[in-house]
Amino acid sequence: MDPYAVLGIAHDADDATIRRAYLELVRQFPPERAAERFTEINEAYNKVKEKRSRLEYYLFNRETRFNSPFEVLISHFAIAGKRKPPTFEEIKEYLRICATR
Amino acid sequence: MGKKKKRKKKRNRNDYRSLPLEVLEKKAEESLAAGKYREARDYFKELYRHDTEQYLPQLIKAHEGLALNMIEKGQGENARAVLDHLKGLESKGQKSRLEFILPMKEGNFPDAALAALRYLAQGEEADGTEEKCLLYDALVLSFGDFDSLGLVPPLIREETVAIQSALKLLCEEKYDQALEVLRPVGLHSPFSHWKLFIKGLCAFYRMEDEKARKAFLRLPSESVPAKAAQGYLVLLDGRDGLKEYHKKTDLLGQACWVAGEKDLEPVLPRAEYLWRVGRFRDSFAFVRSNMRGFPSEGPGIMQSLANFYFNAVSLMQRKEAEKYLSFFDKIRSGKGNTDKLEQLMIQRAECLYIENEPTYDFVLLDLWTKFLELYRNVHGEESSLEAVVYAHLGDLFSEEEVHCDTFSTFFGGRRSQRLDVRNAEIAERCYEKSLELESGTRDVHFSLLELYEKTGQKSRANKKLDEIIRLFPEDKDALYKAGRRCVERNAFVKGMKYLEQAIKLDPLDGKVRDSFIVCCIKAALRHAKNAQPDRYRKLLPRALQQGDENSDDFNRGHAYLYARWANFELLNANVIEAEALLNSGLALAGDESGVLYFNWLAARLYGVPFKYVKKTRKRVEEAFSGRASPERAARFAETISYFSHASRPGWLEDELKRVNHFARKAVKGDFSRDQARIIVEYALSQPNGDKNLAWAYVKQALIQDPDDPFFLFLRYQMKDDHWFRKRNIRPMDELKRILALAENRRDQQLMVKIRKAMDELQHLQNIFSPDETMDDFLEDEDVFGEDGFDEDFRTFVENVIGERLPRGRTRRRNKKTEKKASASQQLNLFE
Repeated sequence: MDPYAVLGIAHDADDATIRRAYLELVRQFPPERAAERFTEINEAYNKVKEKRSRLEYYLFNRETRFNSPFEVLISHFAIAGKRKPPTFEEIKEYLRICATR
Repeated sequence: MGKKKKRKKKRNRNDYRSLPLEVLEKKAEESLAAGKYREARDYFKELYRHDTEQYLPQLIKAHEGLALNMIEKGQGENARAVLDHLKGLESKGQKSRLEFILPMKEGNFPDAALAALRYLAQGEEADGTEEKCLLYDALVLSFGDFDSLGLVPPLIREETVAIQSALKLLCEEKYDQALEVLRPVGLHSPFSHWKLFIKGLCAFYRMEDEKARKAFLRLPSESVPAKAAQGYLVLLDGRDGLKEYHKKTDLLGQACWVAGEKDLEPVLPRAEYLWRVGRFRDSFAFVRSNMRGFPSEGPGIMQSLANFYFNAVSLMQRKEAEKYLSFFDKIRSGKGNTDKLEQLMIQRAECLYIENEPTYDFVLLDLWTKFLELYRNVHGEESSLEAVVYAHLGDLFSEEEVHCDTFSTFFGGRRSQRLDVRNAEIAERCYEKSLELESGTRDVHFSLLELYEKTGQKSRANKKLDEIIRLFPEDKDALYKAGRRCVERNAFVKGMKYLEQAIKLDPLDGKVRDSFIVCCIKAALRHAKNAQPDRYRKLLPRALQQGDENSDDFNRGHAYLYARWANFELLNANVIEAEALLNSGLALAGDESGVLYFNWLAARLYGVPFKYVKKTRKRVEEAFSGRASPERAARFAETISYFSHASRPGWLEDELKRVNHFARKAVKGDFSRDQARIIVEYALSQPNGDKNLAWAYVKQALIQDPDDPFFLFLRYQMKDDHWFRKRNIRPMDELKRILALAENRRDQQLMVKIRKAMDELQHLQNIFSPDETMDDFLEDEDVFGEDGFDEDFRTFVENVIGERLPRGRTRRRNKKTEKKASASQQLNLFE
């Protein structure tokens, strides 16, 4: 899982921004309530918390938790903060497309 | 239509005519039920001629079915022709649902809504639930055009507006308000499925997945909301669901849309399909040529996809991975390929793949150097990145390789093993280059230090350590390491200084305190042997200060520190002081016999004159000759284990026999699980492992608790396949059962070991041909050779002591993945 996506930060975020995002997420998902999510956030933070670890992640990460390209999309979408409803126009369009199928 | 076909058709029609009505009716009904609408239509046409009123509804149904099939196939014009034909039939009193379905399928929603209203105005009721749903779906999907539709029954208008408003509120993330607006839509309302759908959407966007799934699954299957919910269900079902969905590209396209990645809709479903059927390169090529901006390093899904495709090579089997990489290579060297970023990513994938393959060192170095060149071309100079790459290369080249001389084993000799660094020269150069680019990286300094230590360059290691202390004076790890190195060099004063500084920085770190105490004891021993009582008497209180009064730890526990101190006094003939100190130790001990035995063994190891320890010896003998309790046996076993890690003088063998004998006597007693565990581990950690002693305790422990996973696993490891076969137990089933028990007791460490054993067993089973059984393999003594038993036993001991002994062909030990000693592990002073 892309640690930047897990933490909801840009790839050029600095140490302070990353820490802020991490603390905010930990507040939202404390270990006693969401142990799995907390572990994920923690792992992501450790991968990008400082410049050197960010570079190491960029260079040497071989993460392949996915078995297929669509799993990438599913995991990407499963991250907190990613579920935002579409606009009214978009949902109209979507429903109408579904009606024609 | 060809002449032949026309003639055939005419003949068929004539055939219908010749059939009796009952047969024709039966055939017509069967065709309709089977969805053969064209056939059904022909039969009903014939029947219609005989009785217009009776067969009109079925004839319309057959026409509708046919038209719907045509719509599905994209034959809109043909469908419309069928509809026109239907209109002629309707004038005779029947209305067709196609009037609103067809425009809806064609995307003409205002017409669909108008037709639906007309249908309703004439008091028509749709046939089934699904048709009824579609009728009202047409009204909802009219959206803004609702007012232009003319007269709409007030209730229908009210509920349609409620659904549309709720959708609007949902899109504004006002979920509570959306649900509030839906309140007037009742359970029996024709719009109830829309209410359910919106409820599901609210739950979905609130991350209440189970609730959302339940709502979506209850929707009537042919309704528009049910079709729309499919995309959401794909995302909710997650990775497991994909096995089922990967061929349904429409559904996956919908899921892309729902996930807010509309641009991926035309690409990802096909790429998924290709990947799932094993066409990895085609999948990559499809994405590459159809997805604008791929590959990307920027944030978002594009980057995640690029990571997936370029990292996937490490998931593949070697043959497939090589094909995939050579495909990358073709892309890279292809004419007109100017995408430098793609080249960079390919280079990185190649470097990471090659690292795990047997390759020449210069090839690896060259690949990474090329990567750095490409990086400079794409992103410009970045010294910190280059420093990281060189440090990584340093780590790779300083990996230890275990060489095993199998040649001598073949001829019955002992395996000779050497531990070599992969390429010390390149490793050193890489570390130095990394430090040149970024001098302040502590870890690289430590790695270089470790390299010097591994290659036995003591003077360079010492210099490096001094440099580290100078650069990082407030670094606990640096001070700790420096302290330990000083202890190894017998530079105790300096070592104590570093370790004391480290303790100040982190007073709770047991590992540092342990090292400090060890340093004090070693220094004190030297002073005791040099007849300098004043000096060791100053040191030992400092050790006591860092120790624990009530601990059973042989280094930190005050009882054991006093016992050692007593021996130091005896070395200087201070009998009275020694007795007082030993008594202080015994007073602190829970079980005197353990401390007494420790004192006795330490005295022998320190070389205390025999005349001073006669009394202790007598007391120890009394302890051994008394009732053999498991508690005492466990303590003796722990004590002797602590000493037996050191060099093994002859007298220690006698002591081991004595403890083994005592422990064997104690097996009849009532022992706790922990005591059994200690004794079994002790028995198996000896070089010639006392399997009988271990087995006696394992057997007894399983009588006490037949479901104890730890002892069951030991039994599994100690007994061979025949033992299990006699009892009709299959080894893999047994392991599965033990794993389940370990999971119940949440014994994580044991779970890891069991899983590993399962993997090994599976691997072994895979090696056999189908005709060969495990027994055949085990019976074949030549397979293991003379030391076959040793090999089994070695695995067993490894599992028990939790460390892997070197064996077999060359293996690399990666320091990053190497297990670190736990803080509770006691440092052995006698090593």
